[in-house]
Amino acid sequence: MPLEQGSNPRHGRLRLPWRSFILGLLAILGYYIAGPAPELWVFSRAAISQGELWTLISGHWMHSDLEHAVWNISALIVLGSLFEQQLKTRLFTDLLLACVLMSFWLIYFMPDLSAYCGLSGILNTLLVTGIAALWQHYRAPSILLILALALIKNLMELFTQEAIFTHTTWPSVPEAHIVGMAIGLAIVMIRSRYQRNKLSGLIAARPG
Amino acid sequence: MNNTTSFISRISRYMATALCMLSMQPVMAAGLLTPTNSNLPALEIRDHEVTVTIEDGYAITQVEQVFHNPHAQDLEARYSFPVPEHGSVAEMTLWIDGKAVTGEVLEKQQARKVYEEEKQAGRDAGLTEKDSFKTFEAMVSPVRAGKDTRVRIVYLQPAHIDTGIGRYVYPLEEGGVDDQKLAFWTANDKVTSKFNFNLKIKSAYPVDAVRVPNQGNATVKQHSAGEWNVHIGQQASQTTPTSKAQANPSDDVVATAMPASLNTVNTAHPLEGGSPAPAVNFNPQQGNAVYTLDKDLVVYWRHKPGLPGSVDLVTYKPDASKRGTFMMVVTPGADLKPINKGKDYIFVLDISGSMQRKFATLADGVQRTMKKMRADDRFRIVLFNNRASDLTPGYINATPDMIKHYSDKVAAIQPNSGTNLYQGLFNGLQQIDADRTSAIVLVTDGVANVGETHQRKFIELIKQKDIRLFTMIMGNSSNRPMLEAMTRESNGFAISISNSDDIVGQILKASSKVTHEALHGVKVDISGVKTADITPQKIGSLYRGQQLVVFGHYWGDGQATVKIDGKISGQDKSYQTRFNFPATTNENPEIERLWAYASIEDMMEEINNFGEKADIKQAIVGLGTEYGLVTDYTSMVVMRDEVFASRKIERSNKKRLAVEQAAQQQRQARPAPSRRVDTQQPMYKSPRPSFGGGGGAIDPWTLALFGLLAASVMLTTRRGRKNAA
Repeated sequence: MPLEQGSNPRHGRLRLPWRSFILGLLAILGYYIAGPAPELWVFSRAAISQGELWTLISGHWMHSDLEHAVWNISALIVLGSLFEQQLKTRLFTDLLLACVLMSFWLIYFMPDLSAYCGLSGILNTLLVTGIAALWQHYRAPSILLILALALIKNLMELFTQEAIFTHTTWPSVPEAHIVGMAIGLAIVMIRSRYQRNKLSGLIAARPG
Repeated sequence: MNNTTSFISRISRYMATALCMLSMQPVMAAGLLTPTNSNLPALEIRDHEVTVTIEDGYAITQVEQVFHNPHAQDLEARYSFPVPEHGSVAEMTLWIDGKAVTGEVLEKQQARKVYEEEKQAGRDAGLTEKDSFKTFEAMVSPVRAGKDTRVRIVYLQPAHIDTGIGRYVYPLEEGGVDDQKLAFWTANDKVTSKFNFNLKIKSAYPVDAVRVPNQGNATVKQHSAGEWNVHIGQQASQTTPTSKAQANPSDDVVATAMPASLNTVNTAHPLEGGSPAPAVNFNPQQGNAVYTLDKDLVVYWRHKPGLPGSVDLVTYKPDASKRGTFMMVVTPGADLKPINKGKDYIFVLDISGSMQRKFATLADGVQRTMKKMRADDRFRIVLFNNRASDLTPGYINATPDMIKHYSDKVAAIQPNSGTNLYQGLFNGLQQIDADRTSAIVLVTDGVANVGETHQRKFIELIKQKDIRLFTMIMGNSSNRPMLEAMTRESNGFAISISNSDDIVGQILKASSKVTHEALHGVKVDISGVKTADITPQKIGSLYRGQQLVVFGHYWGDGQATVKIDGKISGQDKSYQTRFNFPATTNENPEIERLWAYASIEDMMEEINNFGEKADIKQAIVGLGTEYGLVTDYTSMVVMRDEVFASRKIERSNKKRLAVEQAAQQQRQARPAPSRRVDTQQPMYKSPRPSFGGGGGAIDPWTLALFGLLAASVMLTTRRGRKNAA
């Protein structure tokens, strides 16, 4: 269980990652109540053209079958728990941004895809933004190694056009994983640039 | 009193035994018929070779057979096969003295008389008749003692796409709906020497997967984006397939386009399913038979997802100054919204004796359909054979427990007795809750033989309530004309299910229709070019994924405006495009026959509704003979050329076949051309609907990676603490 840092990272105390648990619970409830691939909630090109814009976000939180839901929601809870003490509210904003950007990518760059559901695309965004946040704190090479391994796995899936280990009812969209990572990278870069500008602004504003 | 009780008990036992024995009669397949319990020796099907070409929205099926007579006397061969969906026999060819002689279509009685006369005279003759909606029967006389007779039958049928997936069925499994026929004939369905099934798909739209369920030995090859070949039988080509095919002898064959397409629906999931039908494999070791003609062969092909909604036009007009024929295929875009309200589903299930072989498929289908229900849906189940009764006490909430409970109950039913379809529907129409949207899911082979059986009465019954009827037509030889007419009247839709089908695929099609809005009261208006004889006369509704196919005649050429009007949820909806009708075309002469048969089907519906009328019957005979089609009122007869001449029978079908064969040769030599005509002014903005959902999936490997990340963070934290200490 990750530690809540407080003011001193080395004197943390055990605290529940409630933000991740809430998100996980919402995803579980979504599957339990709406069932597999509910037409009202999955990303649907036809529904979006009819003005049902909520599917731009909700689609990423729906799943096509139980296996799909179990793996994705487990990953959400693991990643969320791991990153939320660094990301805090950015956990929500990163995921929300990922939902919207991923949906626009699906609309404009995947014209063959009529419907989409599943968390894994936006989880790859979270992986990148979370690892960037972890790196800032720990600077441990093993963290970057894991990011590299995730990238290799996603590239392999992109190359073979198949999910390596999963066989869900809806076929996998390997591109979504890479795009999720790219969105994460973009968020990290914009955020670090913003922070750099802010910092240099502060330095410039310091008297003397 | 005791004696009476004992007597009744004995009689009941005898009746039960008799019913049981009836139900155990072997169900016939396609094959050579011999009267049951007769001393007539059986003939042999030596070769059975099927060639199917699917192109431009229709399928041409050519079945060439060699019948062998191993006996010392000349015999008549009588080959029976189920009526293919909307299929009509257009050619019967006999090899007489080594020369192929094609048949001509005459009025049914006349054709029978001519055939019998030739048969009595000992001269070579053949006859193909249609036995209403059940079977086609081809008779050949004589098959000489110790000799072979070669015969070819060709039929045409539309081959359309539903939700991006095409489906072709080579019907072999007899529906078991005709008790008298079952009692009188036995069928020899064994092919003893050579069996081949070759199917070619030629599509201008890219096809990204082809699937042959339950045929592990099928070979599927891709030649180009839209051209695929399927082969089952002895002479499989050994060349390296250009497709990625999975072939497990006891399973299905699925081939996907290579290289793997960048679209995300490049696996066969939407086509896969758990049909309970056993595998029907080509098996050279199967006793003295190389193949048994007792299971349908089903082939699916899937268009690349994301193709645009479109209008395709196929025309035939060899002479610019004369009338032309057109087939317009409208493939709507995905603009029908999902329905999100809870619904009431009333399952009306046929548990009559004719459903015995289909019941496992039915039970599986019902279970899968019920599993697709939403939590706020409700269901009722009505069963019917001689009588109708409710299996459920009123409406049941579609909870997983209740769905399991009632699908188990349905699966445990033993079908028997007759078919009181009217009573079943009548019961289904009761207890409709006016505050909720309701739909009847009728699963039957539709052969009503108890109680009310007149089609008109069924239509009057269904019109009493504003309720959609969704009909699953089970097996071959089903009363498809009546079921389709009834369904159309209710603005519902009908889906055919073979025992060899992927049930899950058919259920997916059905459920995607039920859960989406539909375009009702569809009307087509063509202006700018003179058109007439449009068929179907009444279109009804267009559901998600369905294509609209309209046949008709046109005169002249030039730009036409085509408008499709209808209502979606009570709101007017209109689609429009403009395109050219060509002055001359000669590539697709077959569409003349397809138009004629579609018109005949419209007329047959009139007869089935209101009884036989002389003028309509005459019109059917006229169309049948002019276009060389075997119908309920016309048959095809084959004799030596000189006998045709001596009987003054015009060889119009021979001329038509020559034109068609020349066109087929031309088409064979070139890739499938695009028939899309609305590219300049597309009728639809959105792409076609498909089952093509994609999903982002995390797998155990990635999750393990995340675990590793967590461990690494914890280790780093601990090390940090140690250092700090």
